Formats: sequence, C-alpha cells, structure tokens
Amino acid sequence: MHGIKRRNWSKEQLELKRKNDAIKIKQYKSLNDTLLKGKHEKIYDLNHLELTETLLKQNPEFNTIWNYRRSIILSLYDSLDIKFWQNELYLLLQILKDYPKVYWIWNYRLWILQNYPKQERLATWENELKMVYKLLDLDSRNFHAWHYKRVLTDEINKMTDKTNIESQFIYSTTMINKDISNFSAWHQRTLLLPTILKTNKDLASIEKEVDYIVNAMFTDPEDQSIWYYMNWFINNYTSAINLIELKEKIEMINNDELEFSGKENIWCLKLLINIEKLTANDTSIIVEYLTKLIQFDYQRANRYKFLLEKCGSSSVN
Amino acid sequence: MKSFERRPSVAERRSPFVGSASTNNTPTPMVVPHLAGIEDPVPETTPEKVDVLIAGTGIVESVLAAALAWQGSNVLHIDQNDHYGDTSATLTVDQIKRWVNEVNSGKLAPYSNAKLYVSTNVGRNYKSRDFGVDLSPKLLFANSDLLSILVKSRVHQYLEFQSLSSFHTFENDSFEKLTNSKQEIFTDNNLPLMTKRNLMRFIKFVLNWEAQPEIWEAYSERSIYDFLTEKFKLDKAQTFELIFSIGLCYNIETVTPKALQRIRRYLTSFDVYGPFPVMYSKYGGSGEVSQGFCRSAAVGGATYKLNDKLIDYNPETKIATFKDGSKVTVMEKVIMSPTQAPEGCANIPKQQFEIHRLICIVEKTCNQWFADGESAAVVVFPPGSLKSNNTQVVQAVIQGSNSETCPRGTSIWYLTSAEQGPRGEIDLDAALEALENSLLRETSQDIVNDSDIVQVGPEGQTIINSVKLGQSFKEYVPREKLNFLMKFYFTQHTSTPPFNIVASSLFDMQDDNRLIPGASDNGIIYTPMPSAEISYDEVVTAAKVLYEKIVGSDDDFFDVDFEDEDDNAMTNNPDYENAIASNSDEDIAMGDSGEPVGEMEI
Repeated sequence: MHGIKRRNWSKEQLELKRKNDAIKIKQYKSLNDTLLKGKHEKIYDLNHLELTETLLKQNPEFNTIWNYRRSIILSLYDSLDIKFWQNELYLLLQILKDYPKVYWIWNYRLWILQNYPKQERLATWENELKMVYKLLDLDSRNFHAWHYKRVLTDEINKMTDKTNIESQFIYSTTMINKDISNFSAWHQRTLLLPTILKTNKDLASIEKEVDYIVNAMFTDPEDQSIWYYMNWFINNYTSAINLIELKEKIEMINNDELEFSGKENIWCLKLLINIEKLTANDTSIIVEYLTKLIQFDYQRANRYKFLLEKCGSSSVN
Repeated sequence: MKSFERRPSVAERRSPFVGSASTNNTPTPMVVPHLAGIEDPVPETTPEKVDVLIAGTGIVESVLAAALAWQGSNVLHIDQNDHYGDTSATLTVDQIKRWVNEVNSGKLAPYSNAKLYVSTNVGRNYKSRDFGVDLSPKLLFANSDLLSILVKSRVHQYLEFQSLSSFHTFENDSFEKLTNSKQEIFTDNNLPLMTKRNLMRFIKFVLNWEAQPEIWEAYSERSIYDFLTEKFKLDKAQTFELIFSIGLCYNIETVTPKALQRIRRYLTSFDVYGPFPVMYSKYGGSGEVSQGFCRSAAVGGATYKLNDKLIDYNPETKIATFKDGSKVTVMEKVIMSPTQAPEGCANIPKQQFEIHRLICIVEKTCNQWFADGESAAVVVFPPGSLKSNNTQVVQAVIQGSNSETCPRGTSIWYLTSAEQGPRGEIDLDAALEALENSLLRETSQDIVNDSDIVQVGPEGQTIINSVKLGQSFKEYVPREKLNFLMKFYFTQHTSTPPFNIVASSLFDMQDDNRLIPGASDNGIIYTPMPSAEISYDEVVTAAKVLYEKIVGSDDDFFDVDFEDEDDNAMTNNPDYENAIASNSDEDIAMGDSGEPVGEMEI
C-alpha cells in the first residue's frame, strides 16, 4: 500500500547495520544532550538553530526539538531575513519527502507559514497549495496533505475573499474516481457535499449522490471507504433518500456474494442493520443480521454478541 | 560487397557523448557503443578460437550473445545479412524488396509465399528508409522477464520506449474500447451494475488466481470462455475483451489456467511505469531491441561480423568454415538461426506451424485509435468477428508516425494470424478490410458534430462513441479511398505452436551425437523461429534454455555487476523508506483532520 517496500535483511547485513548504527547512535545522543541542555538553559542562537536542523533531519518525530526551534526563531525573529523563511520551507520539503507522514513536520510547516513575513504572504500560501497538490499526486492517500490542503484553501479564501468549494468538490470526485479506496477523498466529500447540495444543483443532488455511491458499491463492495461514506450519507439525509430501493441494491450485492463464495458481505450486513434502524426498526431482523455477522465476521464476534444482548434487554435504542 | 541503404542506427541517432536529444533532462550522458558493420568496419580477421559461435542476430540470438559475453564466454556472433536483426529485423522498403526476392527464390527456408506491393509514391514522395518495418512485431509488457533483463543489462539505456494503452476489440463490425482499469469500470455509465460487480470480482481474483484453486479447479481442462461465463457470469462482450484483448489469447478454446496467466500478465503490467500495460521501442520493434543486446554483447567482449555465413561445421574437429574460406575453432557450441543454415543442412527441426503476416503502410493517420499522447494501438479481431468467419484470432498492431517508424501522415498496420493453411491469408484480408472500413467511416466528415456519436465526457473531453459508429454506419459506403503505400504479405514457419512459448524439449531433440552423414550442420543447435506471440515472452525463455545448454546452468544468466550500481534511472519511484508498511485501513484513523465521518454504529 502507498508504494512502500518492505525490506528483508540477511544476518550479515544486520550485523553490518548494527555496527554502523552504533556510531550514529553515539553522535545522535551527544547532539540530543546538547540540544536539551540548550533548551533548558534557553540558549537561542544561530548555532543551536543549526543543530536542531541536524537532529530533526535524523529524527523528525522529536517534537520537543521542533518546539525548541520555534523558540529560537521567535527570539531571533527580527534578525532573520526573507531568505531564511524561504530556506525553511525548502528544508521542510526535503524532510517531508523522506517522512511524509510525521505530524510534527506538518504542524511546524503550518507554523512557519503562519509566521511568515507579511510582504509575500498570499504568494507564499498559493505556492504552498501547489506544492500540496503535487504531493497528493505522489501519494493521493496522505491524510496529512489533505488536511493541510484544507487549511490552506480556507486561509487563501479568506485572504482573497473568494470561495472555491466547487472546484474542491470536483477535485475530490476526480480523486475518488482514480482510487475508490481513497478515504481522505471521501472524507473531503462529506465536508463539501452539504454546501454543494444547497448551492449547486447541477453539481450534486441526492439522486446523483445515491447513484454515485451505488456505482462505487458495485465496483468494490469489499472496500470499507465506500461503506463508511454511505453510512454517513444515509444518517445525514435519511428522509431524502429512497432507503427501500437502496436496501434492494445492497441485498443484491450480498446475495451475489453468497452465491459466489458461500459467504455474506459483512459491510452489506452492517449497513442493512443501520437502514433497518432508520426505517422499520424491526428487532428480529436486526438480530438475524447480527447472528450472521457473528458467523461471517468471527474476529469481531464478541462485539456482535454484545450488541445482540443489548437488543434482547431493551428494544433497540 | 555492395552497400545498401539502411535506417540510421541507435548510435547515429544520438551524439555519443551527449545525452539523448529527445530527453534533454537526462542527467547522465550515455555512450552508445558502436556496432561492427554499422558504425564500425567489420573486423578483417576472425579470431582463431572462440567458445561459442552464434549465427543470426535475431532477438533470441542477441540476448544469448549478450548473456554469454557478460558471463565471460568468448563469443563470435555473425550474420549473413548486411544488417542486424535476422528474423527480428526492422527493414526499409527497399530492404523488404530484397528480402521478398530471397524468400521467393527459396533462400530463406523458414519463410514462404511472400508478396509485395509498393506504391510508386515510395521513392517519389517518401524515401524507402523513412520506413522501419518489423519482420516480427512485438510488444513489451511492463512486468515481464525481458524488461527486467533490459534494465539489469542496461540495454534499456540504448533504447527509447513508448507506451501503448489503447486496446480495441472488434465486434459487430465496430471497435470496442477496452474497459480495464478500476477507474474505468467505476466511471463507465454504460456498464450495468451487476457487470461492474462481476468484472471487478474477476479482476481481483485473477491477480492471485493460482492461490484460489477452489474457484477454477473444476475448469482446469475446460475453456476460459466457459469459466468466465459460468463462474463469473460475464456476458459475451466482457468475456471476449478479457480473453482476446487483455489476455491476447488466440481462440475461444484456450484452457482456463493458461488464459488466466495471460490475463494476469496484462493486469500486473498495468501501472508499473504508468497507466499502460505494454511498451514498444521507438524506431522499430524487435530489430531495435536485438541491436541493443548486440551492442551490450560487444561491450562484454563479443566479436561481430556481418555478411558472413557459415558453410560447414565439423563436430569432430570443432572447426567451422565460413564462405570466405576462413576457419574458426569453436570450443563449446554453435548456435544458429534456421535462416542462416548452410547449404546441405539436414538438422533443422521441423517448422510445422504457420504464421501469416500482412503488413501495410497506409497514407493516413490513425490517431483516433490511439490514446492521448500515444502513437500505437492494438486491435483484436476475435473468432467469428470477421466476414471470413475466422476461427482463430487476428491481432493487429497499429503504429503512427510518432513511433518514428514511418513519416508523418502515414501509419503501419501489422496483422497477424496463426491460422494454419490458406485460411490464414483469407482471415488477414478480411481483417484488413474491416480496419480500412472502420478508419474511413470514423474519419469521414459526415459524422462530425452528430450528437448521437460525439459525446462530451464528464470532464469536458470529447468522446467518440465507436460502438454507435459501427451500428449506425453499417450501411455507409465510404467515398474516400485509402492509399496504400505498401502491402506486404508472407508466411513464416516455426516449430513453436501458435502463441506458445518455446518448449525446452525442442533443443533436447537436436542434442549431440546424432550425426547425419554428409550434412553440413551436424552438431549445430538451432534457435527457434519467432512464434506468433505478440509479446516478447518467449525470448528470455528460449535464450535461457540455450544458455543453460552451453554454460551448464542458468544461475548467472545476466548476473551483471556494474560499478555504479545505485545509479538506476528507470526505477526512480517515490519510495518513502521511513514510513511504516501499513495496511489499507490506515487512513481511517484520521485523528487530526476534523470531524470523523459519522460513527459506524456496528
């Protein structure tokens, strides 16, 4: 997943690696001590700023050091020129290329952007947006990047007094079309759809959305992203959707699965329970589905047993 | 020896000390080694003693030569022609004229029944060497053994590859564009829901079919058609696409496991280097690739001689005699393409299977068949789709001028049939007629802006609905005529069954010690003639088997160590080393990014 290779080490390779690592660990420890001491003693100088860079390149997970770096920058703020800030973004991009999923890097990058000298603010934020689109091209399922993109677009919209919610919606559709399992793109859709439904009838309607989800379900009913989105959708637009018709489609997938493999589709069953709750709410039907889930999703059997007990003790909800 | 015109070679197309002109951003300049007889003069003398003598510079022989040279064997590689490529050659129109004469005078036994029409326009408006026509057109799957050897041996650096993603199935007198990716299946509004379900289920299954015998075991002796229609409930259109376009199988009787393997070959090749399953080399197909391996062999120390023919080999004294009277002692083995056999030969394996090829150059672009930015397409005519009521498939590879094998405004069509006997040629003619009619229909001006036919896609792009084109214009008689610059037909004979990969037993049969008295080729091992297979799949298998016969084991086949090992431009994928290998559920834990998507109650 996400284009990451697993590596197998041989015994000899492991030994060599250990030897090399021992040297690195020693260097790292001494750097670590220097910096923690500097932080404790509130030493805010260029030398320590540089040392934080060395350490963070090796270990970007060490949030304390990111914070120390922030403190140094704030204390030296007036003496830092625009070049420093440009460099800072460049440096972070290099680290991000190696560690695209470290929270602290993303947080720190946003902090840099927020503290960026005022003169080139809009241009910088817009460049940042281009960068994040590129990153999503490389890994369309990096949820950090999706989140960062949302923060950027909100801020840019504020700065320019514009909205681009429609192009955002189209972007999420394109990304889902490319990869149906892109949960970040489906999540983005949940944030945009309510507005789009009210403002742009051509772009989205309840009918179109049902159609889209049904297509997705039939394309890959084993993918949970679709089912999670579907569940969100029916919970939020219960009265607007023809749930009976939808139920028939889900049963169609489930029956087909049963015929092919002798097993029922657990996602179908889970959604059928939810639809039942939202419509007739017949406990006996829910009990039937839960019993099947115990059989077909045995790893979570106790969860279903617990829910069964709940059904028995009270009428559901 | 009179020197004939030819197409520029790999080294001549690039300045040897500068990066390739067409990829200006190539960081490292690449030196293309010279080839004897093309850029370098052929050596005056042959060595006195070699380990292996190889005759014929076709793709199998060239891969073998490179493998042996890098293993450390002393190789002499010769060809009776004045050009490289032999059975895989990429020829100019004039070279084809000569070739046809040779075939028809019986000098090239594995070929027969060659016919050639060349328009007077070639020589007037076009030069003969503007065209590069392959004797055996081949496509390279992105996930294949030849590709890994191309990369390992760095021969890929001498070549330029172009992608091909457009596969059409001809059915009901029209072209169906292939629906093969998950995205296409998801977004195709014409596919019924249950078809989407079945198609996706099959695609997921086939990627890992061997591990799921419970699904296909009952069909292990039965046809793939039965399997797809019964087990996966796919209808005829999808089944035919899977069998003939994706699987590139040759008839409906193909047994299930074999077809599954071929279907998977396509799917696992998709998205390896981009959204396409196959590639082909620019400037000519297997001729270019063969030349690339010869260059690699030359770097590895092999000696090359063109215009040289073996006339006799004595397995007792191990002395090979050439037509100019020179002699060489061959310590190990003599390997020879059947086309290069000496007079008085008696050991060529029976070439009992026929391949029929019809190669046309048309004065028209075929861009409507190509995907955006590409210059080639595959069109498959399944059994029963042609007027001739064909029982075997006809496969066509269409190449446009961006492949640099023909000038602007023209295209080359390669049609192949593995039907045996005279029906092969009849099927090819029927397929040509169908291609011609479709092309004229689709480019006719009468249909532009017909809203029934031209639709606008979801992202604003124009989609020409070729299904409708076929139906509504069935009776339409084209007014325009298609100009053929060349029509070239021949039958090739091979010992490899249709669309099959060479069997190693072929070489066992001709193993030593069965000397035929008086024969000039005792002790020689013959390479297989190319099969009808459209991919390069047979090449590495054949070369490996021969390599094992000579070296004793194929363990070090292309076990090449280059000094600057890590510098590999082709595998430059984003590889986030630090990130932890994770399962697909990772994105579900969206701690920081706002509200969760509604709690799933269960």
